Amino acid sequence: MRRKLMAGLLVLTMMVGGLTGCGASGKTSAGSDAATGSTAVSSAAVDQSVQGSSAAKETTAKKTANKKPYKIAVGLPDSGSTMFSLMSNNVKTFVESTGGKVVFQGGVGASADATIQFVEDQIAAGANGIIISPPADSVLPTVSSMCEEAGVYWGITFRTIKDQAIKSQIESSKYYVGNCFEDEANTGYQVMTNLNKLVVKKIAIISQAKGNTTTDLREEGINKACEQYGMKVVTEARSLTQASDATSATESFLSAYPDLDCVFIVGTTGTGMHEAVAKAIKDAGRQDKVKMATIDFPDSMVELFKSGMLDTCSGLPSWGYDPFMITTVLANKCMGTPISETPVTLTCSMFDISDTATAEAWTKKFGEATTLYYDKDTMLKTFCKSNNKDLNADFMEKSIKEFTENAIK
Amino acid sequence: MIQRILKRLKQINIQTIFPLLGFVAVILFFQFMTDGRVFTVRNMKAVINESFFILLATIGFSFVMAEGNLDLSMGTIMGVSCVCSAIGANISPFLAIPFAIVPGLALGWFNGFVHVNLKMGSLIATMSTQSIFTGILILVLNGGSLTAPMSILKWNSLSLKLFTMVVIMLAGLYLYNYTYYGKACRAVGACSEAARQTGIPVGKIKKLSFILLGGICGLLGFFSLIRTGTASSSTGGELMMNVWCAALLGGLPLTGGYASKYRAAILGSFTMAVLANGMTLMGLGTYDKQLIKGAVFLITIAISFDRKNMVIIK
Repeated sequence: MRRKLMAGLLVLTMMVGGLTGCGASGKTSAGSDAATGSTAVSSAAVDQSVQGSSAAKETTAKKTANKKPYKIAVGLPDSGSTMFSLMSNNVKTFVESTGGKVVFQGGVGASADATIQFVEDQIAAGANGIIISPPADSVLPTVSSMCEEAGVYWGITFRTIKDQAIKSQIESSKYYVGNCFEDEANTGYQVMTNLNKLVVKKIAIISQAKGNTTTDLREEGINKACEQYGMKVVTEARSLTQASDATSATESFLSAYPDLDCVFIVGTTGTGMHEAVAKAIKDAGRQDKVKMATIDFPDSMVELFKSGMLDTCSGLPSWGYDPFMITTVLANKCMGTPISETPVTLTCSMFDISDTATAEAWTKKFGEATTLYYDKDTMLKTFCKSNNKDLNADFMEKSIKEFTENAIK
Repeated sequence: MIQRILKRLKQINIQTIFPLLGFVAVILFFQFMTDGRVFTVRNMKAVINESFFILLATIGFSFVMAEGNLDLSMGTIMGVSCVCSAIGANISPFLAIPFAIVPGLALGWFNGFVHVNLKMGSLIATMSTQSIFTGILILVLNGGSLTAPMSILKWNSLSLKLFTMVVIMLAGLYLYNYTYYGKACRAVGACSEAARQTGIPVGKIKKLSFILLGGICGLLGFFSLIRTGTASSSTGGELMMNVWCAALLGGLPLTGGYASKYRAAILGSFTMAVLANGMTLMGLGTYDKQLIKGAVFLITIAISFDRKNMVIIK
């Protein structure tokens, strides 16, 4: 009897799993709909005269509904922190509004093996488009050949391609749509410039493993600033994933370097890292002497500025804007209306926040997971090639620039 | 005739065949739920690639487990071997294979040496060596990664993987069930003192199993390199947990001995691969996958493990 009960439980687990998978998209769609309009950011690039017209809305919806259904797989988590949820809500809203389907998977960028496995699995699962954030350039030729063989379009988010031989190799593939990334080197340099103004000289950094293109570039900017301003990175900790590791690393920094001026979190994938570093500095009684800086806005940014623990940070207007933009490029390609015949390279600029008021303004706008970068109708009219004939790489760059400038207005 | 068949069926122990039933059930479930996409050529390729690393390592691990031992360092051995393979490949692509396997064998021998000669439990021994190997890996890579020449990527073919899988599966089957060494492994797991008194060189047998597992991890390091073109400190990071799960899911007891069956390694590995692949085909999210994987794991082990000789499943 007990075994039968257990067997029944096993079947039930499988069924619940199946239903969970089936039910996910509907729920999200409803959530996204609810968010639309309440927190929408309007685009200056859109023709205002068309916005109010319900007839035009119907035409837009009809045009997009005529497109063939498609599926995009994004190698990023869709929940776990506000920034993941915010990104996934926006990506889902756009893809589902254009008749597509999107799936997310976390942990993909953690290793080369995980990236390749993700691409292979999603090709087998019938994806028409794949977005990855690769851990290193060297995985890209394999990804490219797999996608070419399967006839699946793909793009890169958050990462640039440093290796020029690999870059030209994958850009020659008609299935590679391009990448969207941040001006990492300049961001690293800019944060260091801000720290120089605060008379910081000796810095400890918390970063990712060497070989990670994002943090490698940020560190290039840091090194450039060090040479220019006579600053020095005296110690470092890498690949920390737990808040407790950040606490231990900061405690070590502080005890080993009594004259340390700053702890700079250059890049991390862990959660609660910023709070852990701030607490370690405070517990050591060094908050007046040791500054704290970071790239990418942490969830607790306002509290950290208010408590005087955080001195400067730099980040994207919204972390998820980068994958959102490359998703629009990929979705258009999957729908058969590419915005460009050649791969596009989109660069998002970061901006600095160094005070509580700006941090509060930013949090008010992007601190909610339900915020949409553009309302659903604007997304359709602006970022669907079938509705906007002007949509091309230059238009995308212009949209990014406008979005960044208007981010905290 | 029918009575004889019914009698035979009654004699079958559900716990013995449950891993097989579970495997078949998992396949049928996903085949049904994904409108028959499990058995497409493209998907079978993905399943083979997914199971390749788990299967080979689980085969090696089954010898260690049969002795009642564990290995926490197999993922790191694969990582170190991958780095060595990348170094070799940068000298000459053909050096990639020996540069992967030899370090794997050496690190496996070191595990065996620490366990047998320094008389440390396998858990503590491999926990320590795992840490040492990780340190070596980070030092060699200087915290970064090493890229192999792109020409090596063309070796990453399904036929090579299938050939390797079949050869190692058959060799493992022969070694495990039909040789003195395989039987000695299980004898050591059942009672090492009794095995020693019957003349089995317990220390040598144990070392040999660690060397075998190390060699297989080394080979996997090579395959990881030709698949990704890169070796980093995260290479092999997920191998250990996947292998442990596959072994337990297939029904390999941690206590070792004669209850350890070779088929458990094969079934567990394929079940893990099909489970992961099927959930991806269904479009489940990361957290749904974790939940289902954990539940299936728990229930399968609860049903399939034979508790005759143990109060608690270990």
